[in-house]
Amino acid sequence: MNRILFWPLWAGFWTIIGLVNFGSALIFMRRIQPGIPAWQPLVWELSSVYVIGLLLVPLVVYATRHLEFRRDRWKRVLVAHFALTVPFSLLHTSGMVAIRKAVYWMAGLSYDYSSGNLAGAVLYEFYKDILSYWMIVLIAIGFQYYNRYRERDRQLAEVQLQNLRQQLNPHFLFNTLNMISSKMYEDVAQADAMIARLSDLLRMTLRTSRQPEVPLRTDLEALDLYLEIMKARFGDAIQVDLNVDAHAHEALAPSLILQPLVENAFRHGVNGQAASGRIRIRASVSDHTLTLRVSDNGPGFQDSREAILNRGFGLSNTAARLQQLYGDQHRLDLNNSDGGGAEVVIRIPYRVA
Amino acid sequence: MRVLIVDDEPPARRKLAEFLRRERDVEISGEAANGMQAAELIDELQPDVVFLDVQMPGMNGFEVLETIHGRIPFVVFVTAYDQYAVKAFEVHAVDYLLKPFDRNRLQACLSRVRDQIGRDSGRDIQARVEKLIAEATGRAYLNRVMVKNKGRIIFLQVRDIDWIKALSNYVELHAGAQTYLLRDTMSSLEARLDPAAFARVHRSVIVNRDRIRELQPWSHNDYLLIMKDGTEIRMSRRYHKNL
Repeated sequence: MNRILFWPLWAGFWTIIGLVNFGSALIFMRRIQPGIPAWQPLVWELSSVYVIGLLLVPLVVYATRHLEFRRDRWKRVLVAHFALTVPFSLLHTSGMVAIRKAVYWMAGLSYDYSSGNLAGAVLYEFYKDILSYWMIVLIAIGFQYYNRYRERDRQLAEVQLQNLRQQLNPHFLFNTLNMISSKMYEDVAQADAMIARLSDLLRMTLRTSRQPEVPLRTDLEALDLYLEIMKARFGDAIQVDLNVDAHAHEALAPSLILQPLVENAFRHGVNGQAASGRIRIRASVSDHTLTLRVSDNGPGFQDSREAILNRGFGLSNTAARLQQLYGDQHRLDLNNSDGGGAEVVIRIPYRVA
Repeated sequence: MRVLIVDDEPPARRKLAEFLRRERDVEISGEAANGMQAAELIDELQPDVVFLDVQMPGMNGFEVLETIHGRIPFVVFVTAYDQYAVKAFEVHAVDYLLKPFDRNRLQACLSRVRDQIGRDSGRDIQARVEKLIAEATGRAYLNRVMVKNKGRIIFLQVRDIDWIKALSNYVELHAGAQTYLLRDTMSSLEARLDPAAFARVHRSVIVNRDRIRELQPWSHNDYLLIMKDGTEIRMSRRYHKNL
């Protein structure tokens, strides 16, 4: 919301609450003290809600943000909130009494708050304030959750968009189109076949944004299309070695999880020594875990894990997707294997559609 | 004109070759499948024009040109998708082709090339390409050079060079126990070396500052440089300020 507009609207909101309270207070007071001027109950109610709305609500919201109910410390947070009710009520009472005294003084009158029983009056306000305090806390927590939910939604959308952009990798797309345009002069049937493969792959890519997880079998089909296109582009120089456990075929995996890893292996591992490039892909299931391994025989990872994952594409996108889908329940390891070459290992919970 | 085709994808090379073969004045003198091969062939074949793929594994198109010495051929960059590179090509008025292209595009490009080759003496193009390379590689100075040794091609890191001596049409690069010949002139090489790392100490000598062990007074205000490996190099007076 507009920052400049917020505070006037906020004050207006509390004025309305004060006016509603004033209505009920006026009817009540006119019954027990018929001649009371209307402005007096108005001052009582407005002073009360303004102190709450303009002073105490911001303070309580601030406190709520720092006193988060978490599983490991909810008891302490609860005690802290109960303790805070006391200063809350004292501030409320003293604040509104100060305002009332000031207004009465300006009207040439004097305001008597407690009629001699200060402790009783303060206790009376305190009981009412317990309810106000907790209402504010609950609403603040509600807003917190709502904001967090919206933020997650936004992040999810961002990851999805990035994902799509990566899979629709323009570099891959235009190079593939170039390969097809070359094939057209040599073998029309094969060029045609490549257009069909590319179309299938694009369709699968577009589906990814709607379907975050697919059986690994589906992902392997997409990988097949990708590899066929890569083979047409680079020839048979690169050997791809696929080994998938029988159980793994039906396991749910993030859609198009393998392709970026294989692409990475193509780009960094295999390339440059085209004659002997070799990519190994393994999928296995054990202990309720699906393990996916993609390794190459290139020079291996040259940078730290952080540096690689902060580069903003490829593996960093994979890491973000895994975090989004599985939270703490996944592992992503980047290793350099003994024989040289990079290896990416993903471990996620084994589930079947 | 003699043309070299550089691309890591065989179909891409075939298509370009197919189109170029239909041009009367074009002769394809070679094809390279990666950056190293490209650098070797440019040096060996001295083509007039190179169609150079930008994204290649190992050594990309810019790095290929960085290692080339002497005459940089007329370059047409070929790229599938690279917003930054394309912007750089525009800025430096360097020719480029976007993949995929059809024959018309290539012919339009070729006629621009014919035009410019006839007009520019090459100096102008070379300066533009050099600026582009410095920008694209993020290095203002030479990083590695391609040299030949007993028939083998070696990509020598510039920081490994101890000192450089001028011969008539060549320079002699001394790196450790090895000596390499490079077809280049002293002044052109000096201009491309980082002055913080290399200093000219004589009309015919450039030294790597890190490899100097000591400086001894010599006759007529001249000095004698003693390198870490014991090599003695005379430093003439007019280059004193360089050290």
